[in-house]
Amino acid sequence: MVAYQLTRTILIGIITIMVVYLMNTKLDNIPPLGKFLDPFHGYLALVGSDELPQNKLDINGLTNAVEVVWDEHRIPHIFAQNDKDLYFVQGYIMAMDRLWQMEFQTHAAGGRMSEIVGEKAIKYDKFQRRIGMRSSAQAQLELTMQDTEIAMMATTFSDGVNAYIKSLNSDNYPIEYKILNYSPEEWTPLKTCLLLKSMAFTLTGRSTDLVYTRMLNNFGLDVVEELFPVFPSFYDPIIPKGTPFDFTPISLNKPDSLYIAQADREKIPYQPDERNGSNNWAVSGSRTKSGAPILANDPHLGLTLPSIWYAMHLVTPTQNTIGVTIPGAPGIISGFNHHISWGETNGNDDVMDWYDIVFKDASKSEYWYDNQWQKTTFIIEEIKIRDEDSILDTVIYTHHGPVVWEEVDQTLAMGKFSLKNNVRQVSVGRALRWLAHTPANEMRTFYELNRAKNYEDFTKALRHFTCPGQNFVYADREGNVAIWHTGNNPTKWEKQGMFISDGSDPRYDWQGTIPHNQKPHIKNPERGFVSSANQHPTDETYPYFLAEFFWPSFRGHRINERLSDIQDANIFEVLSVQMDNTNIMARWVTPHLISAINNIELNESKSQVLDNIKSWDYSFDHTSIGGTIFQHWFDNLETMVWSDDFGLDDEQYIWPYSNKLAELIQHEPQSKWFDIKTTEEVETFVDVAQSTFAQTVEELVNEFGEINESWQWQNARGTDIRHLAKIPGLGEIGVPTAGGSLVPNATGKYFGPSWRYAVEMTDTPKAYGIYPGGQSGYPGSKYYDNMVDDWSIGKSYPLKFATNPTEINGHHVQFGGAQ
Amino acid sequence: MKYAIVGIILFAIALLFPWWTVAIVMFVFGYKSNSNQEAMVAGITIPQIVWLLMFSFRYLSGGELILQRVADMFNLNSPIWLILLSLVVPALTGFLSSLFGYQIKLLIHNKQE
Repeated sequence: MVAYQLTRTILIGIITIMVVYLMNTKLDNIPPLGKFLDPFHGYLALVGSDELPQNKLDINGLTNAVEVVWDEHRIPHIFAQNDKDLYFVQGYIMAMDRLWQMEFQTHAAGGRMSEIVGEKAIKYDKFQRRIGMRSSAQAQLELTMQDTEIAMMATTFSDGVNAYIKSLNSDNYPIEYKILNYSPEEWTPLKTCLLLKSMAFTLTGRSTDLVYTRMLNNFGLDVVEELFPVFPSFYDPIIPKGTPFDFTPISLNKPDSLYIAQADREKIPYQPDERNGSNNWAVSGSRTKSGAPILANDPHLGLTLPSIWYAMHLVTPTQNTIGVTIPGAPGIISGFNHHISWGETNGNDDVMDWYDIVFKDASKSEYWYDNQWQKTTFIIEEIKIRDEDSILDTVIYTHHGPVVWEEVDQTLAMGKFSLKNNVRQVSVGRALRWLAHTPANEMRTFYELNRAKNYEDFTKALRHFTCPGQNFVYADREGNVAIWHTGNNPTKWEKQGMFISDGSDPRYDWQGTIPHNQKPHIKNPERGFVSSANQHPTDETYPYFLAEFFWPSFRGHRINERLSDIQDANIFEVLSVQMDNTNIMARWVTPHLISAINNIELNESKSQVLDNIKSWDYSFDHTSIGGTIFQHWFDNLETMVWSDDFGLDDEQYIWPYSNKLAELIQHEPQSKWFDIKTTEEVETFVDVAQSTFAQTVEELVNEFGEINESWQWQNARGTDIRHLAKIPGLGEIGVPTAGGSLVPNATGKYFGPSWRYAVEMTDTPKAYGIYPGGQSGYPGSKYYDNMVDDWSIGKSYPLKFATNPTEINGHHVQFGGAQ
Repeated sequence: MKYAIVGIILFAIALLFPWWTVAIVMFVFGYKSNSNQEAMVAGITIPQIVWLLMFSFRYLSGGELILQRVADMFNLNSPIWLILLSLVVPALTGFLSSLFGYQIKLLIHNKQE
């Protein structure tokens, strides 16, 4: 009986220990349940963690007292007596609200996700390392640290973040640390550099070299040029057509014939969303009621919670700047001061080129370049994996950059013998040249912009901005408006880098950088405004090749239409352009769609749908039903027209952009591209339009029933603002939005205007702004998503701009200093 | 009275130490229990009541929003379901550790239930 008792006791003991162990351990996506659900130390320990400090916060590391006022939107207004104290407190406060987001983004950028989520992230981490994110950030850090002022800014910001981290215990770690079961680590300036590289990848990482090369291989150059023209038949550039470029361009050494690589990878690697874009414009005083220029900016990005941006007001004797920044970056990225205002849109330049590399032998220690063997260098990347041993990945570097693809499943030629340049080839790699590899000091741009007093300061600040190239719009108190297409972009010959390049031929190298004064820019144009919406920066007369693709001009053209009509405008009229939902492409295409089905017999459902779209005003407003019909119809049309030729979009190939299909509908309805290859008949536009109309009505009726409220655009599509780590329950799903990717109010299912702001440059600038989220990163705070509803209906809040803290109503706290 | 004292001790320890210390406290309680039934029933209920008190405090101090978010995260419709699910943790841990404590007692004193 004792043996029985002993066995029973041991069994219960083992089960007890196992249960405790399992509930203290994270299992795949399930947090450690005991630890997480514990109301004493788990997620509920965070209740009240978003409360602001009372009156005075004793803090080491400050020279003088710093006063901070939080307004009703939880925007901190920081009044410091010197710059060091300012950036220290900026780091501290940003970490208070967004610590997890700051750190998670830099882990992702630096290829360290395996440390958090385990082996499932190894492939992602390898990719991040192999495209040179870490090595580039390290190079940027080294350059930045040689600049005294920027080194001060980055290090004191880090000190502030670390002061906050040190004040925490595990109970008050942000909830995501508890869900994913890890702890914050020390912040360093390298993390800020990684964050900037991450933004560079988001905005310049869409590379079409592989798909264009595949199309070249399988369809020929004619097809590529027909379907993906560098300058389409309709475009409305940022620098108006006909503007002369009065400079002598740098001459370039161009190959006699185009190198044709083999596009061997099966699928396109991960790429950022092509719709990452933005709007900005500045209207000169001649068109405004006050006589002062008005500037507006709304960057469109994938929307997340915690929000992409963080609003702040930074005041010291050297600056008084308000706007938004990315959590983890010191200073203000989009905003204004007493003298100038600025804002950015993505430049969309092609600054990511791929090169075929021929190695001498399997050791890959030498590669063929300029008719001789050149040495490679090896960098060993250690990827740490949660609960497992680290793995090492050796990355080969050429003078172009890192060899990203070199494995068997990445290039067919590995181990395959062939002759190239009379050299026995045993393996081929593909190296990446990316502008973000170039060491640059982008933080200085923002440091200088935050303090800029005039146009000269503005243009000087832009010299440092290398990657991602941006359209910087400008307005100042003196009445000037301007726009610069910046980024220290390479000087390229026509179509250079459009296809995979020959890594052995120096003529395919980037041969220089566009001189600053030759970058596309315009100041105080006759038309009384400047604008950009990711479209072509210039017309065909600009002497350098910038990219094979810019966003179709529909959005930009509509903005220009609206701004051309503006007279005696106030800031609200300018803000209203950001919420414009008119789709120019739909305006051109819809009459053709309607006429294609006008004379055929329709049942009641189809008649109703047709009547609806006939009376549609081409606007994607919240309640628009015509918008829902058009979008479904056009999507179906695109699928039918292109999928028989190219398969699914973004798989083996990309489909031609919407402007190409719109052009074919209007001008070439008999085009061969309308013929569906899987049928024996020869279809034209009319056949495809009729067929997809029937399909569209059937799908919509199946999904929503006969026409009713759920057909309204805000319900039929909506926008999902997901959590940054896609943790269910921590996002806002189905936000009822208006707009679309081709209209100024550029919303989508997962992306949209991540920050909307406008400022009138009167003596005391007057400004409004909003973003889809809230200042706090804590999901239990009302400030986590408090701005989402107002954002979705186009409302903005006044930005409280002041020169001293007493002018701002809110919660006042003194950081450091004597009692 | 005995149960109230155990509850207070458990609450104080839970405030200061990690969640799994409930197992240690209830193990000791089980060892001191007079019967298997007492060890099991009290092992379930005392930790549950302690956690429930803390849940109530957190909810009343402004935890409604985060409870709803976490309920959504676990695909539960309401914070009530989340709290009920959460109470399985102290119940299971308390039950097993208390029972374990009582079984050790039996073993040491060479008794049979």
